Amino acid sequence: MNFVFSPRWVPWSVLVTAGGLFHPGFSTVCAVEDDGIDFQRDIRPLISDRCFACHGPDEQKAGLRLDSGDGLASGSRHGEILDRAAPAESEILRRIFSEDPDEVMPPPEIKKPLNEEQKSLLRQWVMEGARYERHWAFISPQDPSIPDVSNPGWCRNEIDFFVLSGLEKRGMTPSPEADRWTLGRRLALDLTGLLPEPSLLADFVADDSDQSWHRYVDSLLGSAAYGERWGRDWLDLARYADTNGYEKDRPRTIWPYRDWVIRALNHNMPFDEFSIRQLAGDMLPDRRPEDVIATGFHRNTMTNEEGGIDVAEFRYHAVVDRVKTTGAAWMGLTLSCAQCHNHKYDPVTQDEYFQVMALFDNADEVEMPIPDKDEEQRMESLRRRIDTMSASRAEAFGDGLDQAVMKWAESLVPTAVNWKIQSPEKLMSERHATLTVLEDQSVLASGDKPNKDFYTVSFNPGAGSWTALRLEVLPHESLPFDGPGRAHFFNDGDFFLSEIGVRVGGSSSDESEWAKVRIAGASASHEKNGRPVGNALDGQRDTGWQVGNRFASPARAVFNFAEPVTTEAGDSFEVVLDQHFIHQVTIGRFRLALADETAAELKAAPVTHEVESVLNRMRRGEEPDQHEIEILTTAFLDQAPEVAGINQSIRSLREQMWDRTTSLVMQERSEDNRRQTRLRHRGEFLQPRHTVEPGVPDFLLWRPGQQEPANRLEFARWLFEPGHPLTSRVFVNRTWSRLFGKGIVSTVEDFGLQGSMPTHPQLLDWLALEFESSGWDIKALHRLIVSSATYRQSSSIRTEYQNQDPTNTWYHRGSRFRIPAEMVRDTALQAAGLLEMEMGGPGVFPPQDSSVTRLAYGSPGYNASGGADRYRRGIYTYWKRTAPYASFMTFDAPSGDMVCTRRERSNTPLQSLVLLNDPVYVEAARSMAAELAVREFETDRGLVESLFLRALNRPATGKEITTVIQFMEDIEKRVASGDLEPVPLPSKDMEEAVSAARWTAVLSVTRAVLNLDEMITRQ
Amino acid sequence: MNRFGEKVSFPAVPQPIRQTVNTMNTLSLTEKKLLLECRTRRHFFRDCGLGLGAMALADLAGASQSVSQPAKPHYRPKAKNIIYLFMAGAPSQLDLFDEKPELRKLEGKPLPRSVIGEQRFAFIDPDAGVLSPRFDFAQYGQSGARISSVLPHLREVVDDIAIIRGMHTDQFNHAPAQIFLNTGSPQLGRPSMGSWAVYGLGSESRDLPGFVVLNSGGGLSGGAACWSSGFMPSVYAGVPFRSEGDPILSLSNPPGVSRGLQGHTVDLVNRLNRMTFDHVGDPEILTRIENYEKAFRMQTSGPELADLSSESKETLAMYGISGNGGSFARNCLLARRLIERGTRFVQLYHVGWDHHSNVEGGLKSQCAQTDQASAALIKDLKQRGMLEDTLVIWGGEFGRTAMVEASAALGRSAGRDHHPHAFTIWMAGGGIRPGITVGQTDELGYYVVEDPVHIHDLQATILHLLGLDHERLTYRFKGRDFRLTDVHGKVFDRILS
Repeated sequence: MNFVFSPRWVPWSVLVTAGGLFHPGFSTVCAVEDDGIDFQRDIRPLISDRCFACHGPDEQKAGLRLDSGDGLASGSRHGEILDRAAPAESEILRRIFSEDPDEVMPPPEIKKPLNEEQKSLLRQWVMEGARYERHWAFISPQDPSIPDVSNPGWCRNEIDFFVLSGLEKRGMTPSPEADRWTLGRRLALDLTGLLPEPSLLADFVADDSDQSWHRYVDSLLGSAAYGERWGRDWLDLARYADTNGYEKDRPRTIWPYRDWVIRALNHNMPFDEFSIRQLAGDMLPDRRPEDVIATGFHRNTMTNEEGGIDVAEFRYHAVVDRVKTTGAAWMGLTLSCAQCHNHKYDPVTQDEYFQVMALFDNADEVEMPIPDKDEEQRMESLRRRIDTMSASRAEAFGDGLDQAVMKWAESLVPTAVNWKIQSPEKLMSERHATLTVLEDQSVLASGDKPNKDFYTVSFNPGAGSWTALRLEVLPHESLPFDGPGRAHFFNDGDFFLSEIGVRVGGSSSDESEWAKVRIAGASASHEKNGRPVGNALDGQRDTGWQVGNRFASPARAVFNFAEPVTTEAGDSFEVVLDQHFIHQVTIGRFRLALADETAAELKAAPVTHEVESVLNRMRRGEEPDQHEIEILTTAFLDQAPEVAGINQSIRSLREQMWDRTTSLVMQERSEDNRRQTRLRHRGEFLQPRHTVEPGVPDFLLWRPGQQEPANRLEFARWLFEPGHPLTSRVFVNRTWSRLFGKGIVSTVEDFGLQGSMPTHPQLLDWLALEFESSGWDIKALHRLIVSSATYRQSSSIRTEYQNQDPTNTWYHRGSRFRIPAEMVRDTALQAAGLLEMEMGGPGVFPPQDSSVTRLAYGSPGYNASGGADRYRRGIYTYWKRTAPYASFMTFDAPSGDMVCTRRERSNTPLQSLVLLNDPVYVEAARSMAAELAVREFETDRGLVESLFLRALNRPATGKEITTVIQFMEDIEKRVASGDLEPVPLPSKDMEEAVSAARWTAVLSVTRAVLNLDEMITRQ
Repeated sequence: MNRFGEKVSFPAVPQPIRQTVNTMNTLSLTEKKLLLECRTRRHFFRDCGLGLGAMALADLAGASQSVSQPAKPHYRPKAKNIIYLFMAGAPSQLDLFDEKPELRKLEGKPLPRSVIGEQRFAFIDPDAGVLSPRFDFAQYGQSGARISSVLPHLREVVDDIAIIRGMHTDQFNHAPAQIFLNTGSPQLGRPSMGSWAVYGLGSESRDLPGFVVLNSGGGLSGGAACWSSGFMPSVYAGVPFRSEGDPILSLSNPPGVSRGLQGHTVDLVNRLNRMTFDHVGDPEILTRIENYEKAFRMQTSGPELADLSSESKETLAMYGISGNGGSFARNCLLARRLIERGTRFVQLYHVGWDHHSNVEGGLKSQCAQTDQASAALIKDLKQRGMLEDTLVIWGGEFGRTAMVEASAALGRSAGRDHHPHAFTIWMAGGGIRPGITVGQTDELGYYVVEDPVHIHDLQATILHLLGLDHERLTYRFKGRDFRLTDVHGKVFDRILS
């Protein structure tokens, strides 16, 4: 090919450059290193960034679409933009090179001009025929051939061939292997997040055979600390936290999920199972309780409990977050970009976004008691104590029990009522709570839990003349504190009934046939102070009936009609329960009944329906049978003043039973109660539009006729279908990024068109396929990567490549980077011998100043844990979202508010202050120094060597030893001369053993070493 | 006992090896072995280190994240620094700035349904009656601004401020609205305004953080997300200054360690770090060295900043500072001292404006705590010649309803609920036209009818005053160039000088 450019539109400087590109032997300034243009690497990122916003999946200005080859070929509505015969004359180039602000593309107002180099790349692409390829990450990984290298002897496994080939192509050589000390520490930090165990390191350093290597790596992979290190990494994706977030930010219990993650990783659960359980463990046909706990992954979304909120709105935001997190964690897709409009860059329409949302929308958010032997035993023993105490109540009455029971019962008989329980025909919750009719005709609420709601219940009583309505509120084990209300905080287990409305009418929906039933008065079995049942009749919605914390006890209210209501067969009653409050105080379970007695004003009985039924039969002159006497006896004892003390004790035992450990989990709704997912215009909650069915974006169906997943479980399995272009690549890339400090695709969360290109695409595919074919074996992947020569390289900077490869893109050396926040603390405590290895359980509170939490809503205090809990690994630190553990935040820990796929690694003076002065690090230094100070070393050299070994896991160099010893001598001298104030000795024992000057010197060098850059660096 | 006392039936794996905690006894054996190793083996790491003497240190330091070097704005800034007085909880504009005589006539009556539309409220019902303004308004200053009698001090500086009555927002719950105002999105995870400012301009302070957060009145609904650096590195995050004790967490030396000893220790840290640098050549180590020096300086400059004894009696009296408590007044003075020392963005949160009940009493109490010091800050900055470089902003996250909030169940009466459609803030200083009142609401104070300013417009305007184009100040994350103003925002030029 040989083109002559028309100088009319080509600036001369560009002409030279471009000319050079066309004649490889003539190259001057070269934008690309290889021969010719690589569309994936050179062109798509450019046109995606500059063009797709207007000519892409969302908008097609002038009818032009540039995100596909077809679109490019068909041109705009003004005609073709490519001139195949004379590429140089193509419209696309004319517009790119135009100097007219009204013509040039991209237009100046988008503020993303192309520079000369980029323009010339585009020209070269057009000149070479404007070849178009599907985005690399949307094609299934291809098995690449292992490249030839000139130095195969360097390679330890396949990874190295890919890496070395890249280096050789650029005339670079790899670095030598790092020394054993460095490698020992590097491997331990990478695989376990801790310093190497001394005896293991000793073996590793003493023996540089491959067997020793494998032994060492295997022991790290097999250690319990492995699951904690990689678990913490996974929790970043899960946005794990121990509080609900937003204003109230109340505590939640979801640590059983955190422990599940650690355990699963330690057991090397294959990544497909690991994922499927977290995404849809509640839907597995043979699920175990652990599988359901795993669904806590998507319960780590935040919950807004601010007073005046719309609960449904924040549930929507939680589902939005689930889509976003799933996209980032498993698929490397920025799906959330399509929430408000079609994706600007990737082929995801807004409809498809909501299809994915529909997959996650159909779950209820529930708490599940966790199976735990200790806990079950505790419950069993509480139950036994309650039974024994209950039985013991009879003793207070001796032989007079039966008589007392009957006397009590007879006193109630005259007011007993023959209630006719009504079976609901139609049920509606205005705010979409799930209302289910149970066997006893009671109605149980579950699922969505709004602040305000109307329950509308219709029933068909048959022909009759009705005088009163009874509303029973009933306990249920699915309700918070067992009910009867749904309030899980502030009004534990209670409800708030603002108003009750009763109508009667025919079967037709014609409003004119319905008549309001006037209610003359009401009574209730229980009323909270200041919340009498009369409030439900006063026409004021800000007053209501509440029963107080009844904890699992039923209550009743009776509403007398002003005059009897006569119905014919087929007529309906309709009862509206208006609940208008905040903090989700709605009724959890209730039952309706009618009476047709005309005698007097009917009252709510002080006893349950079951007891009242017995009393009612007695009223009709029937004798209670043995079973009924038992019922009466229990009811009598529950209220008898003689045993009030025992009843109080029983109640407090009951309350202890609510103190059981639960975990937040997902629970798929039943098929007949499916939630309708609607597309929301502009992504806004308040603008629901048409209903969408579950599914995935079309471009992610890679086989002809492939079935779209229709629910969460199918979706989770679909992620692991062979040939999925993203799942495996995204995981191996993220793993790589943790071990090398950056990914092969540096945007580990975005494999879309705006993401970075892989530096080593073939290596990425090879790893992805290898991971898949290993059965998604995570430990095997870790072993594979750390076994490579690439990984083992020394991380020292090589000046000769400072210009050519300043960011080590091609792995000419090992990686060196600061360790994550939790490791910074764990390793300091470990070096000091303070780290506590206890695993699992509720979050703990390492020391920090209470001013940290004071800034959060309600200014809560901070009670630091005592004992061993002060020294637990960072993964167990209690995480309060609105006031996270401050020193971790200083070291870039994520706040837990949203998915974090890669942590920043900043380097700030506040970090220095933490390491110098934070109580955790001060305590570590003092503890370590105290041991060193009392140990007998022949010389100070021994002390320094020991200090370096323990903290940095390597011998100190001669220069370091001299420097530190001189420092110690200097400090001791200064203290002796009064030039420096000594640090007081920590204990009486120490005072006898060590001089203040000596202590000051030893403490200072210990602090210094624990503050070294190397201490917080994996190198 | 290990809580994971196994009962799961996952595939068996090698017995976990517990990392035993070192004790001196077990260690010394191992250590002997290790020490033997060090003496007999060639220590590759040290011997093969490659010196970097020839390389310019400045080049290397540039490779790491550092905000100590001021960056370049897009155009000439009108203001160098910002003090944002954030009135958390949302003060009632109808009782402070936006005078609505019509509401007195409508007292107790519901607003027409045509006005309310389908709006959702946090607590009240749409048919709640009107609550008339709680205070009288009068005209003040040359500019003749009309403000409430409950702000007696603000009237003295009314010619220095611009009152913006056309603010409106999208959010009507506290946490989302505060986060929205600070980060441009009600969802979490975005960098806050102060982070953007420091990201765009750097900080001129050698010894103090570029973005500082002060707090009074109680804990904040939005929490740490309000000053988070979101997806930017934590170096851009706001640093909370504490009102008691050390101003910055971990600023004091450990117990028993003198300043002299701390200095020697930091010096040793850096000498050893320097040796590592000489071997491995990683520029991050140079940044670390620099940061230890800066941290050590902060240990002096922090307490010096918090020590108000060098301030004159007159100054303290002007702000109304008495005692040492962490009051709003004290924070206002600290803000000036921070700006003097080169801090870019100071955000004062004062919590306590959420007057769902007794809005009259609540406003009296809050104004008593804040009015004098807010006005004093303007006067103080002005008399020191700092006001022209400093942008001061006063305001909450939304407004309050014209309708009364009352609830027997919640024990509330004569309050006002959350109102996102109209509220008032004021701005003063660098680049702001002083002595003006802009923006009009309808006669019920319900909607903005003239010169509306959305939260994104406010953010665009603030960045503009700092010399930053809100459309060009971007940060690439997840394939997208994020902005403080999302994809919205227009500079509100009516208030620009």
